[in-house]
Amino acid sequence: MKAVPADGQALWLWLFQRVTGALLVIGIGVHFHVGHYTGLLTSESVAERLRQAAWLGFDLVLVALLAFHGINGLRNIVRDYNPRGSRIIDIVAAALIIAMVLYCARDLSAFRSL
Amino acid sequence: MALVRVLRQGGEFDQPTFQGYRLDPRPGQTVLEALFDILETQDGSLAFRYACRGAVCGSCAMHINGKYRLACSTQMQDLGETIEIRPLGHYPVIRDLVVDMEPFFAQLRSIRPYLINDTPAPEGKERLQSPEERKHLDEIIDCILCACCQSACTMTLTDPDYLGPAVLTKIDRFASDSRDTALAGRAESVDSEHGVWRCHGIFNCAEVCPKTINQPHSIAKMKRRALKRRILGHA
Repeated sequence: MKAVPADGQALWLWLFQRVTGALLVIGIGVHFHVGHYTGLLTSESVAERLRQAAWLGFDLVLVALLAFHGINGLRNIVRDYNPRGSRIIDIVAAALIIAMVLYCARDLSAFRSL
Repeated sequence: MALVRVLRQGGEFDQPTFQGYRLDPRPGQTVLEALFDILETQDGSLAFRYACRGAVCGSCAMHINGKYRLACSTQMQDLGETIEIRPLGHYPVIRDLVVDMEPFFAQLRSIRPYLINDTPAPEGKERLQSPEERKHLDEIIDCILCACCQSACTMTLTDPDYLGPAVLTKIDRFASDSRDTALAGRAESVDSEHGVWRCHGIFNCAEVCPKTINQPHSIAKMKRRALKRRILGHA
């Protein structure tokens, strides 16, 4: 029974959008607390924190969650208005997510050597 | 005295045009009766669809004062002095308030909207269902296929391939039936970008349903079944 063509990725994108949303609520809460309630925020204090592998990992995961949630959300809006459009929309979205994570990873790493 | 403005299309109208009719609504008069009044006493060219006149067939669904509803169950006295009537949205207009419902029924046919059971029927009797099992169908079985929800849904506007709330609710109606054995196939049939995943839970469908069916609840159940089928291997 196939009323509409089977589409493997739609379910996972829907699920990950919700999972990343839930994780972001926690992650952004931690990020906000660390940034505003644990002493004066300076370049040195950020560099000091990022020199710890756990915090670097946390920030990288937070960026990855944010990149996926935000860009996939935009992709959903574009797809809603262009449901029969080519897969180029998905490819551009995936490329943007990867580019955003790599760009932020480079900057976070640069901070460590301050 | 009420002013009834009807969006006229087709026939002598090249462009969609509002045409106004004045009439004095009788107590208890419905919009459908008012349209008959106009047809019989003012304009014999007005086209609209109807059948049962008792909110059972769903034929007279239309857009009345900003909301999709059944003309036969909408009282004129509840609508104020100016009443604006348009045809159902998102479907090609044949003439005036009559739309081509074929795209809707084609989608409905595609999901096999009938009981599927491959097991042999019990000897000499029908397939039985307990009152508890029947209770799962209490609300969703009331759908009269008026397509008010399909027209109110913003996703059916932008995605003509989207099954829409009425069709997805119809799938849930059979997927929830204890006598139906095609649950996995039904869960697979909605697992697509044009299936349940297009629904964003806007709830326009539930707001306009003349039978107060909760379509988003049915769609959520089908989402859960699609997830279970993919992750656990059974719906």
